[in-house]
Amino acid sequence: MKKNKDGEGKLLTETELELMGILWRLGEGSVADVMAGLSKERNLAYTSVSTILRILEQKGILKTRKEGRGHIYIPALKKSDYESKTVRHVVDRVFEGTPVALVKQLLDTVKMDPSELEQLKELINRAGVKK
Amino acid sequence: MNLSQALNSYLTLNFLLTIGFIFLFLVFRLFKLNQVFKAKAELELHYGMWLAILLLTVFQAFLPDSEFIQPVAKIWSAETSRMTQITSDSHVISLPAATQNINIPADRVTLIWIILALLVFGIGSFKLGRDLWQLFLIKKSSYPVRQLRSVQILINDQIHVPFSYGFLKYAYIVLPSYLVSNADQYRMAMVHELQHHRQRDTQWVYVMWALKLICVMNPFVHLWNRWICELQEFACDETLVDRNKVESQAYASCLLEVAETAVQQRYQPVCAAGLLFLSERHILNRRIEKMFNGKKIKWSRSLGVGIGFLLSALMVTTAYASKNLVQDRRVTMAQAQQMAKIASAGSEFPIVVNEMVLQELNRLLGTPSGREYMKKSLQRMQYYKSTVEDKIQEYNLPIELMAIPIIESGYQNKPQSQNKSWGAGLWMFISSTARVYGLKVNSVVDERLDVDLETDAAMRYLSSNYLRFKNWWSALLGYNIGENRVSEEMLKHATTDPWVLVRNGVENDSRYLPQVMAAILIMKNPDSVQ
Repeated sequence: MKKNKDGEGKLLTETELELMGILWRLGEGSVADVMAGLSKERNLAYTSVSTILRILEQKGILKTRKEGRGHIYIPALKKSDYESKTVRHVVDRVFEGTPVALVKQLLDTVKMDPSELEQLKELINRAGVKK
Repeated sequence: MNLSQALNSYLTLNFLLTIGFIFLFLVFRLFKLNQVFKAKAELELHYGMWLAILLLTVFQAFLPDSEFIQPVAKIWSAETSRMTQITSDSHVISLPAATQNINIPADRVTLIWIILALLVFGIGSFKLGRDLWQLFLIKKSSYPVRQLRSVQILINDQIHVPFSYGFLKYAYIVLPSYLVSNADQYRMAMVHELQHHRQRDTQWVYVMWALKLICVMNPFVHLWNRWICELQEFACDETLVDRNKVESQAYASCLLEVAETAVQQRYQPVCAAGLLFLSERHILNRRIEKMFNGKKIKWSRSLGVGIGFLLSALMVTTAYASKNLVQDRRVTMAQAQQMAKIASAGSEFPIVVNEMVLQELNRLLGTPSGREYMKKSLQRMQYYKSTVEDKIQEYNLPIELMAIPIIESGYQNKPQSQNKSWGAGLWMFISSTARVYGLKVNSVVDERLDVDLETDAAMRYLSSNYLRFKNWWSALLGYNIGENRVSEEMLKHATTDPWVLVRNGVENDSRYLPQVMAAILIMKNPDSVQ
């Protein structure tokens, strides 16, 4: 039973995000593949990973394809889409809808090297032109 | 079932629940029996008690009626002038209906029902609706991940505390999603919830809920509910640790972790059993303590049965005693006077209607069991009617005297061994008086049980009293407490009116004269018992 509409509206939980990160990196994979992608210290059981992936499928974030005895999970949600959703969420909730505050906080918090600052300036210019 | 019978059942239910809770509380908390019993055994005792209470409330109507009218013990003899009155307490079981203070008059019944309905359906439905809606929302946003025979496991992102619910053949366990990452905690939570299902806690929740709704004003019901919820948790923990399904320390830390997370959860659905009370620190401490103090005594089973029996006996007595709390009909003075008018038509017998008689009329006609008693007595009277009537006419006495055996014995011709007082037969003669009037009473034969002979004796006795006092009520009073005593008291109180003596508490049982008068009125107005 797929509950797409609910899944797309909410953010992912921590562990779900972790697994999605691995799948986005791999492109697609089985439970075993995802487990291999976890760091060695991460103590996650096979059953836990399997359960979470199945829930993500029900949420509509993953699609599956049967291969042999198991399933291959393919992300249905693009990473960039999720990123924008998260940022939107942070801007709306934390910075009360003002992106300037977010960028200001970003500049204060994260040390950027000159090339990154250049990239940023170019993006702003392009955005200004689009408007 | 009419309104007042329903109200009576409602009150009975509340009494039983109150008494049950107090008794169990005293036994377990005060005598510290909760340290002897295993939580599961104690829980089963509680469930058993509830079952008993519910059954008793439903089947209260089938409990046998006690003797509605208790004739006074007649120890005096017609012969002696010095009366030795032994005023024994003739009310072995004092029916609440017999006293004035617990009776609920008929006109207030409807009002009480309206208030109750508002409380129950207003507050109760609101709470129920809110909980059901919450449950529905949670179910909608949950994801099924596993099916264990008849139980479906679901994961939900919004809840912080695991819970279970079920009805009929559907059973669900809903676990918070943060538990999924930790396989051990996940397993322990699931095993704990499964144990709730196995213990049928998820089914008893509905009973708890219904009782809370129906007995909304009874604080003991709410207390008992909480107690049982606690016991359910203890019993789950205990079973899991005992059967080594979980390791005690790991389980305890799991409980603590869930408790910490539970503090964040604002709303908890009422109707699902689960780790709902974890956020209460005192019960969490006790749960963890209990888990590590495993020693329980083996013989708690027989002790449990013993306590169960005691409590059941208490319950049955209460149910029995509370059979007649609600008076569903009221006889007014106007109605009584109307009955008197009909009764005195075509007769010269002195009909008396005062507040004492009115009280007795209400006692006999105001409750279903009172009316039942009168109906049965009148039916039995028909059986003996020809004999008694003939005797009355033979001695040329008023027909109203036929009402006396209604009060004396309910027209039941029983031997002395079956009577609470010392009389026998329809007219309840005691043996010494019977002998004075020519009846043979010895170990071989008891002529009091011969209706002809005893009625004949009664007629002669009443005639003799009437000749002495020239007043039927004095004659009757003499029949009840001894004619010599009546004379003495009349001198003492300087009156010839027997009712004055009655008002001054002269009778052993101050209700004899009013009762006979009420019986006469009812006898002449037979429709009043319908």
